Amino acid sequence: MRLTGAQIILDTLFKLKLNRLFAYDDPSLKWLFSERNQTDHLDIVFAKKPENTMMMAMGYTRTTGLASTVIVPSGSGTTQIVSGLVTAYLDSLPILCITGQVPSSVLGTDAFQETDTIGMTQTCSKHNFLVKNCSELERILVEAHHLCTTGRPGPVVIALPIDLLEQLSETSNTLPTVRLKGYRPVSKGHSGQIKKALDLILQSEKPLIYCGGGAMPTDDKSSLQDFAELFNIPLASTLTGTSAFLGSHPLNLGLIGRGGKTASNMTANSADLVIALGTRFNPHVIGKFEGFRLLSHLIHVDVDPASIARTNRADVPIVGQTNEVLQQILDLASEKKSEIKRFRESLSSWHEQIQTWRNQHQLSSQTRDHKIFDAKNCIKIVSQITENRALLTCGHENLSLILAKQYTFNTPRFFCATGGMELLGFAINSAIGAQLAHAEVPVIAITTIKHLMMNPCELMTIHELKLPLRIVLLKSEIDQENTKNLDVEMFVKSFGLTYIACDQLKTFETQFKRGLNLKKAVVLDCVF
Amino acid sequence: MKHTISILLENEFGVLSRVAGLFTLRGYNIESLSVAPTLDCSISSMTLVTTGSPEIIEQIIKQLNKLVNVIKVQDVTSENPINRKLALIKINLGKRNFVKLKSILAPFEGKVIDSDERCSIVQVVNEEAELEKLIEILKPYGIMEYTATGNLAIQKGKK
Repeated sequence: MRLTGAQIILDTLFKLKLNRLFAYDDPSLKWLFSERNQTDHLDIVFAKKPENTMMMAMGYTRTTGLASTVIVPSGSGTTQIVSGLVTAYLDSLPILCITGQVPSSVLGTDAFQETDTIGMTQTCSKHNFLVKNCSELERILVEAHHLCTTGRPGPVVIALPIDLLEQLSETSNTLPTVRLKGYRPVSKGHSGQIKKALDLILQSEKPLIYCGGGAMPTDDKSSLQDFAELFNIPLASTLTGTSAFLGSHPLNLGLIGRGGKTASNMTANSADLVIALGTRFNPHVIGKFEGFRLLSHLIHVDVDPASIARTNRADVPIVGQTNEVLQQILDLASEKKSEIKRFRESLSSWHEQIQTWRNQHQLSSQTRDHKIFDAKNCIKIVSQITENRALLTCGHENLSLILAKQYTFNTPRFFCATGGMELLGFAINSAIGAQLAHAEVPVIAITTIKHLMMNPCELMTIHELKLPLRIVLLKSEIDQENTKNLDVEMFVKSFGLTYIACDQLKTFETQFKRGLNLKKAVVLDCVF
Repeated sequence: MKHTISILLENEFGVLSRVAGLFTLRGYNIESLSVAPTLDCSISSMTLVTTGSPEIIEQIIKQLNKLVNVIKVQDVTSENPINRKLALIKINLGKRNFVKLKSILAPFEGKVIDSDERCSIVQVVNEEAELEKLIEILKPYGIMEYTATGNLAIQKGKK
């Protein structure tokens, strides 16, 4: 069957289950989007700005674990997604990006809108492709999808000269097979290392699990919870690892590192064994820890061999998917039931010590003023009212830290923040992707008026798609300076959204409840 | 410390620039590089010489392995491989000095491949250290041009 390049792309994306698309419409891409009946089987959302397609895709992917697709035109369309790519690459998000490129006949001639897509995205994507011929489109899409979703997930870029969209090519009914000779990701851990890890765990007296984004449960399985419970080991998580483990679980110490919870940091400082799962050991987080540097022992599990032992020597490095490796340890442990029982009981003094640190924190937090109208107290109220069942997005670095500490995330992936880089407009744009993925869940975007002003155009998209998003604007004195001349109410209403103002903590609770009950998008503006 | 790394990669558009890009991004140093297709024309062999501490070298190898087009990476420094470089040297000695030149080159396995009234072109295939010795000997006669390949390494025995 002979089909145009455009049709091949749309059909292949559907066959690969990459049917969730975030795109920026442009005349150069008319072959892809003009004949609407070709795209009925795909869910396409058009953003008002190319940059935002990436953030929407990140919101969708982060909150579901599924891959999504981004389509942008050449020129500034391509350069605008670079920030998103850098973040998606660092945060290991499976996003397939198809970027338009100038027609093949003028490639390399400094044509209008021409950019060196391959060169530019080489260092911020897992891999990239330049399509030279319509006949290789299918194979490239299949390979790109495979690279995106296996091993350490990551964004993959396909630069597509737009003349190929109308070129005809033969296609078959079955998808071509992947033939990447140099790509063999490992998912199962080495059995010798698994045994070493188990021995090391049973010898420790003050263990701690340190989990990152790679420890997110896949499907419905949570070997992480089984593992922590079996060995009775406390767990602390990074920002991207938050929500990988049940927030309200007694073993969960919460956020670790800069801005993290006291109990987590104190525990990390005194631990004699750290079990690091699915984390790249961001020096930002653990840099100051003596405990991490002079560590007696470290078990590091990660699917990316280059992340292991990059900043810290690991006694037992294990390359593999965190969930699979933990299951392997659990399977091996089932033969040592009595030893494990003794081990669990031996940790009672460790847990007592941790409890005193937790109590210290409780006392000190009680002396804080709970009556000030600030971000912490607002989030606490949000947590109570939503009963910790909402999905929260945030693109602001400091606010993300506050969120991770004040909100208890009990559902995996319901905390959507960026680990790699701060992206302007992330809270709102990723909320769009998240809401599309979870239609029945209340999605709350936490941001500041400063960030909203920098990238507001998708408020229009929210209005057009009738997404019932709740946007909470928390302000600070610095923001006041920047935005004092802005009439926020008029600004928000001009996009067609409902506006609720709040200037006291007392009224915040009622106003927020009111906002939650509205069946349409609302912006709750907190003027501190 | 100098390390020789032997890489097998897919012979595809842009692969060389990916490898080079990796080094520039992370600030690693490439001292020399040599690459050409193997007998299987879809696969190329690359020999790279770089310097760094053991931790840096370990990271370089891991990052190289991460590249999708890279099939195999080996640090062959410690395996005592056979190392060779090819150098072409234009020297300021004409046809008349042919015999003298030949005797200088003999212990270094070099030969004169072209000569005219004013200068001769010498070809030498040898280890880097030997090449350096030869250059010192030839310098007084006047080296007009010098061009050499990167180091090539191949492991001995069956692996």
